[in-house]
Amino acid sequence: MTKPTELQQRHLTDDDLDDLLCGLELPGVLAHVAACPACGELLEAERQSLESTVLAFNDATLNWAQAKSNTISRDLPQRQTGFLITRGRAWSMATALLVAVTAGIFGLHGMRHNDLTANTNAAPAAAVPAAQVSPDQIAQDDAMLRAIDSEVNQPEPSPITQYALTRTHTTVQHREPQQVMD
Amino acid sequence: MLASAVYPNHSVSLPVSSPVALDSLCKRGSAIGELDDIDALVRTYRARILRFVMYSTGDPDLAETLAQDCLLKAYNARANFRGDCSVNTWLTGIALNLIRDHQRTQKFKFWRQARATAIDVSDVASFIPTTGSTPEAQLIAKQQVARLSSILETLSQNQRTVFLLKFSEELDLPEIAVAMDMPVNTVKTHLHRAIKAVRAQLAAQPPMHQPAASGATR
Repeated sequence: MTKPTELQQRHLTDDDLDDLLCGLELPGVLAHVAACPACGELLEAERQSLESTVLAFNDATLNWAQAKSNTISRDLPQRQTGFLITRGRAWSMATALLVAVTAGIFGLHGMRHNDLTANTNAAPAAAVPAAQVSPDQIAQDDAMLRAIDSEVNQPEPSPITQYALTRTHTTVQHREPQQVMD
Repeated sequence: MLASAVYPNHSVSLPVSSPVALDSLCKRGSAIGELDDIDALVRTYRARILRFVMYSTGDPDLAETLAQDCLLKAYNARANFRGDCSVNTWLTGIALNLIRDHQRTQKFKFWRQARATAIDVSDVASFIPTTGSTPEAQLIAKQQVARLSSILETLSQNQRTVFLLKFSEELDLPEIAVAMDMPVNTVKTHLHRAIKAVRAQLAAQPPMHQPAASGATR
């Protein structure tokens, strides 16, 4: 027959109970619990008290969290999709920018090329539209431009002269609020 | 045969002949399927993460943000999941890192002091399941929820986190140690202290309406 150890002989302490409730398996303590009905009942009562409290807490908090989650259930996919859209937009913007820059470079190159060629062929190119305008048309355009010019150059009547405002009027207008305040 | 042949999209080079590696691969394979479907990921884990973060930080608004960030981070980093723990443990680890990051910021410290949006215990307690229980049992359950919620607020951050991971998330001690990045013995110490505090405070504040004893007569 094996002699019971000191741990198996003494009753459970608070620390032992805490360890057992933590889920730790302490062979000496468990052997005592198996042999001692009083300690077995104490452990069972403590376990039930903790478990029922934790169970109620877990049920309520999980239900609460699920209810809260349901109200925001679409946010994450939208954020994820939003991220993808943003990334797609960024790529399309980058592509458009690249195309624009490339087109600009080639366009500039083309313009310089056209300028060079235009300098050599400037006279025939300008001669074509000038030949199509009649002298009458030129005379009408000149008359219209003169009329516009004379209209624009008409002197604008000054409000001071138009309404015959004098220095006295302006002085009186400035003094009126002071008289009211007195 | 290499695992990369089984999972061509993921570069794993463990020999499948090892039982540990095979188990890990099986877990990883099913977990990757789970992680690939973001709707299922949100449906399955968001509530648990939201609850855990809310009771860890004590701030429902911050918890919503962190829960969102956690799932988004997990989805974006799903290729890095090694399969050596469950998806729940992995997500909890990500959530813990996010909580730590927030707690380091001055902004969080300010808001924690302000406590503008603290947990409404009575609101949470009203979510007790009503099916198959008497009104008296529901009342007791509400009181239990309120008491444990208030007790959790008195615990230190580590004690509260370990307690929640053990009893709400139902992780075992090695899993908690991995998620919290601390030795198992440290986890045991925090859990021991947390249970001692919870037991002491539960004993100090007995419920107002005790259920009638089975043999009690009037």
